[in-house]
Amino acid sequence: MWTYNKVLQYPVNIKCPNPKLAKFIISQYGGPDGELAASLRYLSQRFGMPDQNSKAVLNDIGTEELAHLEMVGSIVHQLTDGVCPEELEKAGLGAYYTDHGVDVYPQSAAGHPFTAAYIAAKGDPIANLQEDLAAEQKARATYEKLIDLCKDDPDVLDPLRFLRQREIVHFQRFGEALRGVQDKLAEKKFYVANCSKKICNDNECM
Amino acid sequence: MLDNENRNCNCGYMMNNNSNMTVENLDFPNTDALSANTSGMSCGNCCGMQGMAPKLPVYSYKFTNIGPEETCLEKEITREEMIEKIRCLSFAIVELAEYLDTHVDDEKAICLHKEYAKELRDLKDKYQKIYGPLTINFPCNKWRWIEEPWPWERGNF
Repeated sequence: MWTYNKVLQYPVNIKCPNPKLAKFIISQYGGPDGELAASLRYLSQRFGMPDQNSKAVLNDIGTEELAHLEMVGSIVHQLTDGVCPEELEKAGLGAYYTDHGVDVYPQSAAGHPFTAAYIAAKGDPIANLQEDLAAEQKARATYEKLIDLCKDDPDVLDPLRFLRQREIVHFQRFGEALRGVQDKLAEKKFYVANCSKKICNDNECM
Repeated sequence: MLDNENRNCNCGYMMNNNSNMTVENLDFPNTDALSANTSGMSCGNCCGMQGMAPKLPVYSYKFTNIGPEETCLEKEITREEMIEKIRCLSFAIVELAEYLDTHVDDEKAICLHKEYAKELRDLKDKYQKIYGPLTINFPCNKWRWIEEPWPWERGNF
């Protein structure tokens, strides 16, 4: 189970609200390659992992992603905090304000609400870990695009750089986990394939 | 734990060494909690809640074979019993915290929270030294974190 720690993983202290940036950054909260999708993806996949290391990696990275979700939510909150509805509308957040006010709602930059379709859990450890490797790269790419858009504000840039860096570290860990799983499944397959094939040939599995 | 007895005073928490961790007040959830009847609310000043206080579920905890700490040798506590006590204390703390969020001045609840929090901290420390880490924050010489079973694997730990 989880307990809450009353501290952000990396500080977020934005002095100048900027709803335009919030509109883009919210994608990392509830968008296709966002932290919510990442966290739920890993925490859902851990149940089906075949070895100790991959279970631990998915558990722990899935947990860290929740900390990142909180950071991104804090960035969005601080970028829109105290901004008047007119300014929000000018920044393209008029529709957002109508439905969600000042809450941080999980949606993509284009305004699509979060969907479980972002959570790839295929029931196959290799496919899942390959998915996770791609997810980390996509999240890194998204952060890099956001960093391009936020160049003028070091307060926003700093936590985004931290988050980008974490994607790279997670990619590394998933790569290591994948190699372990491949080794493990290679051992297992040899035995299972022979066994099941023989049984099927004997029509005993019908 | 003896101090916890006789605390069934409608402030919501009761320690009972004879039964499992159960919700005993079956009136809950009471959709009309805030207008719950006030009979039986005469618990003196012990919980700071008077009159219109919501009726809360009563939890009790089973600490079978776990006597007062000073008379209980570490070896007599099984792993299951230890984790069960940790689970009970953790849950009691969650429940107290949620209650305190809306009743910050309830000294009785704060007192219980303090007691359970200390007990949980010590018990977790003891457990982790023997059976490995419960969180990644526990210092160690060998990385036992990856040891199975995980909680979702019927290990019940």
